[in-house]
Amino acid sequence: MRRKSAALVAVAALLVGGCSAAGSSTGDGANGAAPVEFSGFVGGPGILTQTEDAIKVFNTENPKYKMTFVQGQLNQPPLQQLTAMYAAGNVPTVFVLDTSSVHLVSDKLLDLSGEPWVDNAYPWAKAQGTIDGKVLGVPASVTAIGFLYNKKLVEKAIGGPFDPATVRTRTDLERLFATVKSSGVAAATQVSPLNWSLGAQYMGKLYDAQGDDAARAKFLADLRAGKVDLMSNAVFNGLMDTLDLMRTYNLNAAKPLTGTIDTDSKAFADGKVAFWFMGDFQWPVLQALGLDPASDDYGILPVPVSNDPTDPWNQKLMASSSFMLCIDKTVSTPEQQAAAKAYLNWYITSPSGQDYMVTKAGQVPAYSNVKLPPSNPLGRAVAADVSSGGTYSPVLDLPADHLPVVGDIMVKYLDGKLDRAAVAKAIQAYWTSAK
Amino acid sequence: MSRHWRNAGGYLMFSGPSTFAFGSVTIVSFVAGVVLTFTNWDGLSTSLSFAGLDNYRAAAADSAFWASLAMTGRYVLFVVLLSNVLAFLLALGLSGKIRGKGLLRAGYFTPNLIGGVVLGFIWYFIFTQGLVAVGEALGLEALSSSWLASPSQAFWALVITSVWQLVGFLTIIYMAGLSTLPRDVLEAADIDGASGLTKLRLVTLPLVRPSITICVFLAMGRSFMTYDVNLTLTNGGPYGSTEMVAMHVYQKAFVYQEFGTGQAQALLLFLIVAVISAVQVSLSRRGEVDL
Repeated sequence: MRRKSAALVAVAALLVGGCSAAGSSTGDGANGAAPVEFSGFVGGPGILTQTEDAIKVFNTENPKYKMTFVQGQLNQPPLQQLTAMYAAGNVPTVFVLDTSSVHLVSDKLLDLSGEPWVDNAYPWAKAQGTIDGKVLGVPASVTAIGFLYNKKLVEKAIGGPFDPATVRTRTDLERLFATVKSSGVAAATQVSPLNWSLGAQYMGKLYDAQGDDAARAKFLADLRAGKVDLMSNAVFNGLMDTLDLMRTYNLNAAKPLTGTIDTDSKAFADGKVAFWFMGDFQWPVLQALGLDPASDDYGILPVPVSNDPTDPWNQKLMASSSFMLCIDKTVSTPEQQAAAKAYLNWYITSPSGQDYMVTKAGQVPAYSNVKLPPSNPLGRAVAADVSSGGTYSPVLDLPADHLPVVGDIMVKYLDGKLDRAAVAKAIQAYWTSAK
Repeated sequence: MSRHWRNAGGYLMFSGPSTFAFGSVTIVSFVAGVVLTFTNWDGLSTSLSFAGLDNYRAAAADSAFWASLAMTGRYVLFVVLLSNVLAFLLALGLSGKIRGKGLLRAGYFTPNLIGGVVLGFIWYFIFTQGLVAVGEALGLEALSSSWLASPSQAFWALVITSVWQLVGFLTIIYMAGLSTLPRDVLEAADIDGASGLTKLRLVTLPLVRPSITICVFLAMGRSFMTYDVNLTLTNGGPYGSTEMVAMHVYQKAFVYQEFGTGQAQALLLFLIVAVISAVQVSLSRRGEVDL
């Protein structure tokens, strides 16, 4: 009998040993010549090979360190992947996070406040990675949301040069849509039935355009308390009016849910629509569909929310840091943390890091010290707005389920299954029960 | 005593690796999962506290969970029914004397070798672009817009894709079942003058009951847990109408960061599927014929 239990103990020991072996992943970088090994879950979809190459360059230029690339899954937000990595105890030293997710993991992130290279970020971009006064993430790049437009099509329709600064109100936009439509050169616009586009990026302006940080915080607190009547809120009605305008001139107006990110990208690249509510992050796909990165035939316009030509919310682009680069302090050794800091410093300040950031990966820099011009027309348009102060920073700490819930409400509205009052009611109901 | 030792050593050598794999992958995570349902863990934080039955209350009060469970039930019903009927008919056809049998069998089985994620992407393009192009070219109204854009059609898109994946696998099992049918019984039926249909109904079907039991069981288990095809084909859309229960549980835990609630719902799902499968197996077993 004793022997039998000894065998059972052996099996149990095997089990426990197998499970705990997965936890240890640190290299012994402390001893003299051996480089410090650390891993990086960096670089999003579309720039995987560029990131792999950049890490090779970093390793060559910094023989003290040996960084390995952790490739993520393409269609899953970084936070979900990190959750699994943390659960497995196998955490990369440096990783990307959606800017809106940083506050959810703030207790695991290294404070970068004292690092000199952090101050190269534009103040608003630095603020997006700052929580309770600590810099917990530095921006990977800037991304902006608005109406992408095809300048050649618009100019053909209006019969002259197009100055985006002339679109200051919803009526201006409507006039432009009508001109494009009647000219017959293309459809005026298309509305992609995507919950992240409509829920997070379009309706995000509902909170942003309430005013400064204090006004936004009060609005969100009132929403949670059930004290807001959206049907009498000017921003809500302004956004819905603009959305109605987009629906009227929608290429897919008859079947509003038929578009996908692929078909809509193709329609825009093929010149079938003049305007498309999207973000400059879509450029790599558009370029793959044949758009010329050297031309300046494409730009991006803010979404007008009123008919007041002096309304700043009609003129500023929503810009945020696409991803935040953060360093883990819970599993990584101090040596690995130092190595990861060296990588971020390299990314922000070295010529080869900047070459990867801007030229190779085609991103818009979030740093005032980076002087390289973005490699595509949308990026150049956004960079110009960023450096001239023509952008605003959105509300970033929305609950994790805001996107799917509000996104689905908006797609339902696009499909004609809800009217405006029902949308208002559904969003209000979401907020009163939100965590 | 030494015999016991030898037994233990032999056991460890032969079953040790699989016991280890089963224990560490299934048992440990299952037990850890049950423990998590009594805590308020969010999936990431280093501290957690005991939350009693709160998660089960939250899980039961989540109307979206029950809606997705009902939708999944409907999906399972159609997938199990269609895949089994089709697989049985294909197996019947393939067990006759026809040319290119091996090629056809391999062809039917291939979809099962494609992973669910890839399969979902393939059908995503078929539904959003391929069929739409065909519909537009031929002027067919039913195909002129993407099926994935309408809640009712997206449901059928999911069913079609899953049936397509499953049929080949079930066909092989049915073919194995049909090949073991005793010739003498069939010949006796022929001599008694039974027609093809009567023979099928009264002889073949009762004799392949074990295959039916296993095929229905497999199809049911697989379709209740469908996640990969759901993710890549419809991603729960349009507006959450095709979010099946496995996806809902995942969303709850990883997207909404309510780990305990998601885990409690996963456990509920496990119990529901276990009960349904047990009932199905015991009912089907009862009707099996022993020769």
